[in-house]
Amino acid sequence: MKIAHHPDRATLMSYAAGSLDEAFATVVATHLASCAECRSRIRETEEIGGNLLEAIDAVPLDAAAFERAMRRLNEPVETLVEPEQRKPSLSRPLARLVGGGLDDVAWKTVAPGVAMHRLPTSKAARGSLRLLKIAPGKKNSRTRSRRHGDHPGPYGILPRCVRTVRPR
Amino acid sequence: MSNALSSSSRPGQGEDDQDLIKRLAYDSDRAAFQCLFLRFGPRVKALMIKSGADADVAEDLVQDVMITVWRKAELYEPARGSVAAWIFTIARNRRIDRLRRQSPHAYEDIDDLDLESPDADGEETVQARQRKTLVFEAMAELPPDQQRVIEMSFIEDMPQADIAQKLGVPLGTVKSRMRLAYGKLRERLEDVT
Ligand SMILES: [Zn+2]
Repeated sequence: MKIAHHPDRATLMSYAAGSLDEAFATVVATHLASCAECRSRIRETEEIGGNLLEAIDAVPLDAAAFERAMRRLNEPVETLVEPEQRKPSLSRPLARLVGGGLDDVAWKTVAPGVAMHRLPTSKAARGSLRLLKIAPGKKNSRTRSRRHGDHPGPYGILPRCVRTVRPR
Repeated sequence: MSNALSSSSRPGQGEDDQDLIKRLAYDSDRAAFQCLFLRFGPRVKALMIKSGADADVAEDLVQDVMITVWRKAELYEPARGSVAAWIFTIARNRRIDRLRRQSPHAYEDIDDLDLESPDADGEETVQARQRKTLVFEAMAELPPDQQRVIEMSFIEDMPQADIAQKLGVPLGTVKSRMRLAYGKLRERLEDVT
């Protein structure tokens, strides 16, 4: 798959910081899943977080904090749940949201050659997330949002973050 | 806020941290865990308070983050970055989940991907270790307005639009400060690698 373009540098910074809204973070993650270069850029940028964490003015913990953690370590560990088998053609962040696979998506045609499916996000997310399916040969200028740096996925599937401003 | 980067940082501690994580991963060494807990716990607590948590919630989050460090120690890959950066990402993901009440899946899915990549050779590990120091140096050289925007993003968990509002500058200015800072960082890393 050819990668159209990488997310804006400011977007990569905000992703590493963790300050992107969930819908937008999912769009970026979808790109990262198929772009090793941006993944390694993210790892570098996370070193900013590491350095700032070391430099921060520490706040003393409760006196019993370490004992409390040790008690929890002695509790039975719930096993890490293996992620369910995904359709290999879907990138991970999308596969999780789509569920079974692209065949199970309830597409809604919104324009000739363009179908849409709304993806779930947390209640607190400020933007919403839509999956767009574009028929081959269709111009997708409508679906390309420069600001949000969309990236084509497999099958011409684009996750699109639509920012709706809701009061916090 | 004073410049956090010029004061109390100790970029030289990276190697000790990696040693502690190794002892945790291979020997379930509780003394090693205590060292990491005492070193990072109070910093994670400070991070959570700066992100808007009250002291009790911050204390709970320290528990979650440090327990995750214990349980995932064997998944830590030195090639990926420093221990401090790794703990930052654990804290970041917990912060998204607990303080922002959003899903950190977008991050966790990418973490999984990294685990699948082939093991790094020794040389890459050394580079990864060096990377934190280089990033530190690049950050220390940034103008204060760029440092401030970075701190507001990484430490105070503020979206770009909120930063713009708080600083009373256009959103584009916030973005360009972040891009400039990123550029500086890349420059420094490319000089060496
Ligand atoms: Zn990329």
